[in-house]
Amino acid sequence: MPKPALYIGGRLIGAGLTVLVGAVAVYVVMRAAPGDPALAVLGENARPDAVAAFRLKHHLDQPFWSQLAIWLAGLAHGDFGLSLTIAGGIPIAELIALRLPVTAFVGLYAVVIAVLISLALGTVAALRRGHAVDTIATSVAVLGISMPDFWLSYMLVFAFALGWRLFPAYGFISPVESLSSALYSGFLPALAIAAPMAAVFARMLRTSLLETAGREYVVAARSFGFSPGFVFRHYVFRNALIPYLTVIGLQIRYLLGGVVVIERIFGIQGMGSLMVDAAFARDYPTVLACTVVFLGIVLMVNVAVDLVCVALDPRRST
Amino acid sequence: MRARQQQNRRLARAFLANPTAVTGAGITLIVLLAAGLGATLMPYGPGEADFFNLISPPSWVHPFGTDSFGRDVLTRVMYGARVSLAISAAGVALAAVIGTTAGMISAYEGGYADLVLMRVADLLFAFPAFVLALFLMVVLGYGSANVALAIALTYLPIFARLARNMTLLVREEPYVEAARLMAQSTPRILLREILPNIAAPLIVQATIGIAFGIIIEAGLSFLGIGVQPPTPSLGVIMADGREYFQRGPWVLTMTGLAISVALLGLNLLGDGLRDLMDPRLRQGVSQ
Amino acid sequence: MSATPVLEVRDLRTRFELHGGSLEVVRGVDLSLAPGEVLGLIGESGSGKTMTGLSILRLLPQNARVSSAMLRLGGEDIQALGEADFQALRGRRMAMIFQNPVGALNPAKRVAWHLREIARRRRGDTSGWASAAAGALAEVGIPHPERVLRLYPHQLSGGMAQRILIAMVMALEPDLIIADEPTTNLDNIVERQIVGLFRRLRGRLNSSFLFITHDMALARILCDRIAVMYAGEIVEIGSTRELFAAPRHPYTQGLVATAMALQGRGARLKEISGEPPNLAAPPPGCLFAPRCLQALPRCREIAPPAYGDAAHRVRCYLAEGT
Repeated sequence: MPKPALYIGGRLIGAGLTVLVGAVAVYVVMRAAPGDPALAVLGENARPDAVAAFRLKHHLDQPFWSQLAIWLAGLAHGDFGLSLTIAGGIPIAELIALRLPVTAFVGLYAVVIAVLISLALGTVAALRRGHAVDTIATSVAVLGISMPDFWLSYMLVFAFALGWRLFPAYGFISPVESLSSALYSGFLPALAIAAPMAAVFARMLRTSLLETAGREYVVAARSFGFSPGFVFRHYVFRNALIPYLTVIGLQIRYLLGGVVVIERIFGIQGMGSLMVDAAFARDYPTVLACTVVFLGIVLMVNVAVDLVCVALDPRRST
Repeated sequence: MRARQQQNRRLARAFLANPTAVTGAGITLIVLLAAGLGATLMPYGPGEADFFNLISPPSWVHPFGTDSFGRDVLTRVMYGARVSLAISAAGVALAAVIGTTAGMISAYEGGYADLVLMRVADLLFAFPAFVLALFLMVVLGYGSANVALAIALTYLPIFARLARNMTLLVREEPYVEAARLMAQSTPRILLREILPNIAAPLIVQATIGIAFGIIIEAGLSFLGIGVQPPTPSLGVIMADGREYFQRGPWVLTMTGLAISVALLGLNLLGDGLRDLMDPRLRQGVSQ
Repeated sequence: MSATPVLEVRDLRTRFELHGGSLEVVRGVDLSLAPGEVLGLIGESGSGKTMTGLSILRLLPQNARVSSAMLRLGGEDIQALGEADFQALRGRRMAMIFQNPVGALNPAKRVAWHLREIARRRRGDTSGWASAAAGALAEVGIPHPERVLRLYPHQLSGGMAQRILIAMVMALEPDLIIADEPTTNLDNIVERQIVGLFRRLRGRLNSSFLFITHDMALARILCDRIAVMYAGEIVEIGSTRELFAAPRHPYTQGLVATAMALQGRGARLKEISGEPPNLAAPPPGCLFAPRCLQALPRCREIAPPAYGDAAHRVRCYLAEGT
């Protein structure tokens, strides 16, 4: 296996290239849509000189390829252009800088909750395979992936915010301001996002544990007389981690989507609600920017998970 | 011919012996019936407003209560289920057709076709599903048809990858070789020899895909950028119920519950089918 | 010799519970092993020999049912022991060497970790394990032990891995070592090295061996006594010398002839045609009868009992009256 720096560098470059291609693709698709952005923003009856000024400001009079190039060049510098309608023309990058940490926090919070729940659920189900506990745990898991997470948010709000007044139903304090407030106000939304994730992860962990338990090295470990707890920790669980983590990486793609709607419901000022607001306001550059940023997030997470898997698997790291 | 009949019978028996599959199939069947026929059986119309009974809680007359227009929620949910299922199924079907074709060609031809097609699939796959769907709604415009299209594009890469992997396995089988030697055309080989043998996991994937499609449709419509009212889809009804959630939580709750039941049925069915297909996968339907 | 046998097994039966019914893969096996003895368990694949070894150690999956009329280790009855007590025996009093050595090691841990944990199992703590480990590796013929200690299983060759496993089992100093086809997956040169290692170590260890293999010629080199297994039953058991000089069961005769032919001892290679019986629906009578060239009519009706004495027993009507 090539040196670590080379491998990491290679993966990052690969991810970067994908983001680039993806960015171009969404840009082309967006511009291919019919309609004049200037008229869409300023209205059908806008004055011609206002339209002309608008077009100049947003480079709309240039040939397509140079617009693309300008945009890409801007991306490289972290400049996503100016928002059209949402925030009255301020740089999109500023908006993103404010909102990305929020989404990142909620997403990470959700993943942590999901991992913790799935570790408990999946392990219990595998250890007590075939017993009532297993059936219950697996059923809970199936239910978990069958509930739309935005519906679950409302149920949670109903129960824990309106019913037992344990958690806030709305409003989220950014972690930048106060970590503890963020953890408190973010608990219900993170839990809602985490539920389907936890279900999927738990199922995968159970399967992975059961498959690993049948391997020859587990039989060998038992033949040496190692205690069941020792065998489970060092042989079964340790080797079941890699398929489990791989699935986590793959599922991020689906589960990140939940963030978008949940942010809207709980009034969280993150990337998701930005994208939705921009969609409603026909602020195409912002929608474009959000899409690219989300793409980047997913790819970064994939690279990170892959690196962890490599680190854990001696077959790949030596 | 006889061998295939025998195998089908064996499959049917194994299916019935699997509690997950049977439960899933049962629930899905009930949901389909409710969506298809239920609405016509109900005494109310989906748009029939009853201004004397605005936002009334569930009762014998209105099992799911009424909404802000006094419309019976259960009836609307049944109509909505029809809409949501139809959109999701259409999207998944489109994804299946295009994706499977692309995957099969990619694996069978190899070379540049494989490289290009898989790169495109990987690119589509890299976007988070809901974000991609959201983006497409902005580009394409709102409405049921576009939601189906968005679902299709989101699920396309999955079918492509799966079909490609399965075709790679099946490509070297003797009956494919035989067909090739008999100088049958490639489309014919793909359709008649390879497709039947890779159909099983694709069907499982389709079942689960419809479930996810419903979530995406519901999410988009819930935000207001999917199916547009007055067409009732499950997401639209939920969006409506959200407006007055504190006054009348049952609208949103029961609709979401209905979605959950439908998804539960589909997921169980998919799981059951997957259990079934596992050992059978290797057998295939040999000629 | 009236020393207490290290292992005594009577009527060992192992059955797998499957969906369609149950499958009995070990059908009434009797074995006994004297201290310091090497008993070979010979059979073709599917004969149940590996299952026998795993059954004695109770290492089978949950859908297996193991029963026996008697199971004694060093004179103690271990049959009724619960899993916790049985687990205490494994590694300490009895251990196993596996057929796939690389597969028997933990892929996520280095060789050093394995040896350290074995030391902990043996002594309760890990003091001085490193020097003991280096010494053990050198003893099984591994050059540069310090370098090997840092390796992961996937970096080991089959022969190297098997040496390490042997070193691990040796370090445990068990009374009984069950070696399940330890050289089958190794190529010939390496196989010969490992066999040589066995012979060297055998003298040094106080353990008794149950040596499971399909290779009759190999058994001849290593084993004091040989038990021949067919379709889950022991069909003949006796000293190596006697079995090779005068095999009584037709199956043994075939095996011996093959082994001798391969060693160039004159006899021609006689293939035993046919296949082992389907254990889900076994034929009546002797299980070998369908393939036996010397079968009598009553062989196909009622299964023969075991004839002979403790030193040499045969399950065949042809041996009746001896």
